[in-house]
Formats: sequence, C-alpha cells, structure tokens
Amino acid sequence: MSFLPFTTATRSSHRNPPLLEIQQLSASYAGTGHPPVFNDISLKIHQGEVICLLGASGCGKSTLLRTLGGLQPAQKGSIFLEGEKVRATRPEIGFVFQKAVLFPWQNVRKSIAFGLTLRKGPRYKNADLRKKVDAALDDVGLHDAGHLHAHQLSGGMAQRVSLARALAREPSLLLLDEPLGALDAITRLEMQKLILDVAERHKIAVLWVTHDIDEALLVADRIFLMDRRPGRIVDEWHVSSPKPRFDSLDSLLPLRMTILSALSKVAGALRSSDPASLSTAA
Amino acid sequence: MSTTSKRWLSHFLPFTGVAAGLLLWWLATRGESVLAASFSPVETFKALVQLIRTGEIWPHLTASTIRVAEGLGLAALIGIPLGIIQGMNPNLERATSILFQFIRMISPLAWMPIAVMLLGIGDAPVLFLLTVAAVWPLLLGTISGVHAVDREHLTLARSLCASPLEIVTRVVVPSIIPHLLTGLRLAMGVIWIVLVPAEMLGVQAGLGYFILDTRDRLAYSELLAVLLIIGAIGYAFDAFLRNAHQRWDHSKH
Repeated sequence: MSFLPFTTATRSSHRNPPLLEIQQLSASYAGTGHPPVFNDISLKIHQGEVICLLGASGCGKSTLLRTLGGLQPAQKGSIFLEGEKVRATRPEIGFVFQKAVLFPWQNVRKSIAFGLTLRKGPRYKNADLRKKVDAALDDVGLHDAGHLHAHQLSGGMAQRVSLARALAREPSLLLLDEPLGALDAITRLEMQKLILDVAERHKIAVLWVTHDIDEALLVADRIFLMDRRPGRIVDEWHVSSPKPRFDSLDSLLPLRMTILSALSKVAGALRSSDPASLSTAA
Repeated sequence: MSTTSKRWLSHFLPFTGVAAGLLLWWLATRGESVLAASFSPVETFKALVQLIRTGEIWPHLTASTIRVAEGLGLAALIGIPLGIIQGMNPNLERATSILFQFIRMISPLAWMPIAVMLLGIGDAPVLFLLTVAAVWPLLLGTISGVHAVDREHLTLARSLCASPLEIVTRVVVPSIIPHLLTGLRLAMGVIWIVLVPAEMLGVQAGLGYFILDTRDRLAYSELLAVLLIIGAIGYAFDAFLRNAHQRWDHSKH
C-alpha cells in the first residue's frame, strides 16, 4: 500500500531527540481525587512537526493541551520539553485558544506588545519592541490594523492577532485549541494556510486540537484520534502528502475513510457499552 | 413630537425642577418676618456674591477640598489594594465577609467620639472619619470588579508566563477601572456628605466649620449661601466622575 499518501504509524521517522515528550500523562478537571479526563497518554512531538489531535467534544483534548502547556497540573506522568521537565508555563510554548482573548483596553499593537514586555520570556523596549510587533503583524498580514481595538476586528482578524501575539514570543511549540472553531469555512481555509506558513517559516512545531477531520487532513503531518471517558489516544496516522494539499485532495480520500471508520468505532464502543453516556457526554 | 424637540425637552426638563425648587424656596421665605427674609433666595444670592467677592469663603473651600482629596486618597490607598487581595482570595473574602459588612453598617459619624478620643481635636479625626466613610464603596467596588474579570483573560496572561504580580498590574487593574470609577463616585458622594458634620469637630477652617460660624454670627443668608456652595461642588465632582466613567466606556466600545 505504499502508493497511499499515508501510513499507519508504527515507528517515528525522526532520529533527533523530540522537542516535546509526554509519558503516561493523566489529568482531571479539578485536581486529584476526580476521575481522570484523559489517561495514560504518551506521545512525542518533533521540531517543526504539525500534529492534529482529533476527537469529540469532552474527550479531554483541551485539557491535554492545557496540561502540556503547564496551565494545569498533571495527575500522573511527566512532560519533557527538550529533555527538561515542564512544571509551569514556558516561554517556548505558545497558546492560541478558540477565542482570540484580546484585552478590550488594548489595540492590536499593544495586544502583541503585551507578550513582549513580561518578565519571563522575550522582552523588548522602544524601537526593538516596535520592530518585533511590526514583524509579528507582517507575519499574519495585519500591518495596517495595528491601531484597531478588539471590537473593531472580525473573528478571523482577532484570531490573527492572537496568533501574532503567540508568534512574537518565538515559541518552538504552538498549542492550538480549536483556534478556527468559531470561524466561517473560507476564513478557516485562509487561516489554516497562514498557520502552516508561519509554522514552517519559523520552524515551529504545532499541536493542533480540532474536531474537524478535513482540517486535520489538510494540515497535519500526523493525526491522533482520541477516545473519551477517559480520554486516550486510540489511533495514529502519518500523512505524507506534500502541503499545500488543495491540489491533491483526492489522494486524501482513502485516509478520510479510514479515519471516519475509526471514529465510528469510537462512537460504536460508546453506544454499546453505555447508552446513557451519549446523552450526557455533551 | 419630533425627536429633536424630544431631545430638547429632555435637556430642558431638569432645569424646570431647579426653577420649581427656587420658586418654593421663594414662597416659603416670603412674608413680613425679618428672620424669614434673611433666608430668602435674594438675600442668599447677595451673600453668595459677597462671600466670593471678599474672598472670605476661599480658605474654607480650599481646606475642605484638601480634606476630601486626602480622605479619598487614603481610602483608595487602603480600599483598592485590599479589594484586589480579597477579590483574588475567595477564602480571605469569606473570612472577612461578616466583619466587613458589620463595620460597614456603622455610620462614620458614630465613630466621632472615638475618633476624638484617639486622635484628639483637629484635622486627624476628620481625616479618619472621611476615610472610614469612603473606604467601603472603594473596597466593595474593587472586589466586585475583580470578580467580574474575565477568567479567560487570566488564563491567557498565564499562558504568556505572566507572574502573579504582572497579572494583577497588567490584567486585573485595567479590567476593574470602570468598577473603580463607580466606587470612586460613590465614595465621593458619601465623603462629601460626611465632610460637613466632621468639620464641626473643632477644626479652624472648612465649609462645616463655616456653617457653625455663620450660625453663631446669626448670618443666615451666608449659611444658606454655604449650603448652595456645598451642593454645587458636590454636583460638580459627581458630574466629573460620571463623565470620566462614560469616557472610559466609550474608549472601549
């Protein structure tokens, strides 16, 4: 089956030590004592890789992301960033959330500068700060929008600012929590391309949470499928077809079918074992 | 009715109330009695002009304004940081909830004898009373402001590795400014009300002092003139803060 643009993962093709490695990670919503939201997850992310985490709402994707980034504590297991244990948020890790989360009292430039004037992480002043903000605005195609405030931005523009704010801090890993979930289809496609472009240009690894199979197929080098209750990784696929993939959509169809059937298995397992969970798992 | 005339009417209506008040005042002080006549609007405005022209009122006005500024400043210095600490620590807030609501219900004027016993006669007890009066609206306004801070804003700041102090100064404080302005406006209102009785505590200048002084001199038209001044300044302060509040809101929306 070597003609297919994907393979079922059995080994990692990377030789270098991973950028991020997690081992047997578990976490719950509210500290220990609660049942885990996700359980026993191990994975490696290499430099510059784009990984999509696919799964239904409530499967713990977002919690996994927040735990990876140090925003909330793990119950069990460990996280290593370039071999170093992660215990709190790190400047090398950038976040973009589903909402852009822009402060209403700041315009676009100030929003980006905010992340460049904190004590931990890259810190700039005056002319250097202006240059960095300009570069970040250029990265996301917003050089003319620096003076606008959050309420004057469309959803797509706001999310660009949010991306620029994370990029300006020169992260080596970007954690995206359904960043395009609230956007229309066309804006989504534009943003997918933009994120891929900047990630490639700056050699940033991306862990991208989504519930959209097509999004995962278009952007990912690897796709993980998460099951829920407790969340765990049940499948992994490599997508080797070159990007951008709009010209070779047909070649992605077999993988799409494979993922769909894996999804239906996850859903089927849910239905047969616990009929009540379907209605409560929203 | 057209919208322009409606708007004109809504601007005009408040002044009809003022005019009616003046009319009632004039009617109430009309008559043969000399005493009543000294309370009349005409005499009062004459006295007002006199007070301003001779400059007699200025030392009292400045003394009172400085006291208000000091009281408000001291209350802000205590109430705002305390409110932020409380708002961010639910346990601390719960621990102090009964205590604070209890103390808050004691009229600042009820502290008068204690203030005098502790601090003697003069400026210190007055400042104490003004601060006690003004600290509550600022403290409670700050706490409710901190509660209203968007959790996602805090998470975002944490995702950018902001320290707890940076989160307070760069996210919480700018978020609560509208609440602070409301608290400041309420504090201003109550401090201005407490000022006059507090200044009857043996100080040598101030609008409260001046009221007692006019009473002792039987200068009733001057007394009423001082009341007019107190009302006018209070109204001006309030209008200024209300305006600041609206401006802050408009700068965002």
